[in-house]
Amino acid sequence: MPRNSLGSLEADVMDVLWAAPGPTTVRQVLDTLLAGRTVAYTTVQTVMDNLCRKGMLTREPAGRANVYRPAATREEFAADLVGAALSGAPDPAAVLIRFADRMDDADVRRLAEALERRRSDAGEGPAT
Amino acid sequence: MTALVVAVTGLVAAWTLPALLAAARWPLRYPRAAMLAWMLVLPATYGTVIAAALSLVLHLPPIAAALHAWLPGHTDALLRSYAHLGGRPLDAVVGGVAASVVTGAVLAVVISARRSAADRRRYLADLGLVARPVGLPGVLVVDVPQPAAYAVPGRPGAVVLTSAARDALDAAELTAVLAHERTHLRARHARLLGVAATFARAGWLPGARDSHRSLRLLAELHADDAAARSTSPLVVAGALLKLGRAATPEAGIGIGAVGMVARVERLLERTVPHRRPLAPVAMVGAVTGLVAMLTIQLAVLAAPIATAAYDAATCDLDCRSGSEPW
Repeated sequence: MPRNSLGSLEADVMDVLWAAPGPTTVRQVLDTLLAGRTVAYTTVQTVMDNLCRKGMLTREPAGRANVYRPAATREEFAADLVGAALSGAPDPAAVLIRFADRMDDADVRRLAEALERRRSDAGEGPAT
Repeated sequence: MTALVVAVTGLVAAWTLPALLAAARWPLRYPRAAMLAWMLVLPATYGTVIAAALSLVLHLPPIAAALHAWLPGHTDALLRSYAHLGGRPLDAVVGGVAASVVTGAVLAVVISARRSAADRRRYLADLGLVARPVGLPGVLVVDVPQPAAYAVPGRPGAVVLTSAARDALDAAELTAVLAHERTHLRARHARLLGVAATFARAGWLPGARDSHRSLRLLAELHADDAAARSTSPLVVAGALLKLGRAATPEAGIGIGAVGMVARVERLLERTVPHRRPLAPVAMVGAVTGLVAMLTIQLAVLAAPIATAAYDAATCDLDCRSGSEPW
């Protein structure tokens, strides 16, 4: 997936915050990022403000600086994203097309047996 | 008279052809031809009804005057060939309604396509925060314990695979799933389904729901065929059973359990020789019939104008000095 540089920075910032043990300041995020790339404080500040606006981060004042934390864990965010895709919530007009829909257990059993018969008819084992 | 005949033919066809096409069996064997047939059904039916209604505006003074300037000496004969609903106000109303229906339909399709495109862009951006590329072009893996695979159309789009799906599928099944989803992206199924979904919102129109439901299944069948070519029908059936068993019950965009059973059964039947010898005949007949219907309807509608334009182009100056009251 080609990301533009700002999108890629967003991903890196989220990675830092998801890996962080607790609330984090812009300075702490910047220091972690600087280990791998050159980036300005104000850029990181902007990216983190954007992420707050999108609801990805929450911000609260702590002393003279603000501290940030992810609104959801990485796992929750990923599960929500996939869940939204599979429930068709954003827009049923084919935002995306999924491979398989839910089948009844009875149908699955019946078809799996038929599949096994066809596989042995074809003279192959289950490993086609 | 012409326009009236075309309109009545189109209406009768709109009430019958979609149901016939939805009930036909040959589309199971020729999904791409069936998608083409659905793309022809709407223009051949509703399209020609609207075109016939639009032809009424030819009677309105500004347009009739423009016609007269373009085809001097032939306009009276031309206008006599088109239905005249007994008065200019009525012509204006019917023609105006037809024009606004066309405008509204185009706007609805464009707006919903834009909205979908924006949703997909946002979705792909969010996905970029948690998904990782896995060395396969255009494939993203998301760490989620629920097995699922889907395509997100876009420029470029992406095939999304959950880590659970990647773990559940063997190598051949993975190839099949990726081939399936890439076919959706390459064939731009989302674009066609988006138009069909927009039209399906006018669910009270005969054929509106049928066309959407059928096209969703046909897009899956087309992608299944591509997956079966890259592996084998039984591999695709196995992958469908694995992911169908694990899928979440609430279905928004998919084809539902009925469609899933139809897809698996069709793939299993693939391994036995063709049992429907008439399917090719039915397919060719249906597609040819629809092309012929669309062509004839439009030709009948356009014939008077074409004739008048031809006469005007070939007649000498004498015939232009005819005594038309314009």
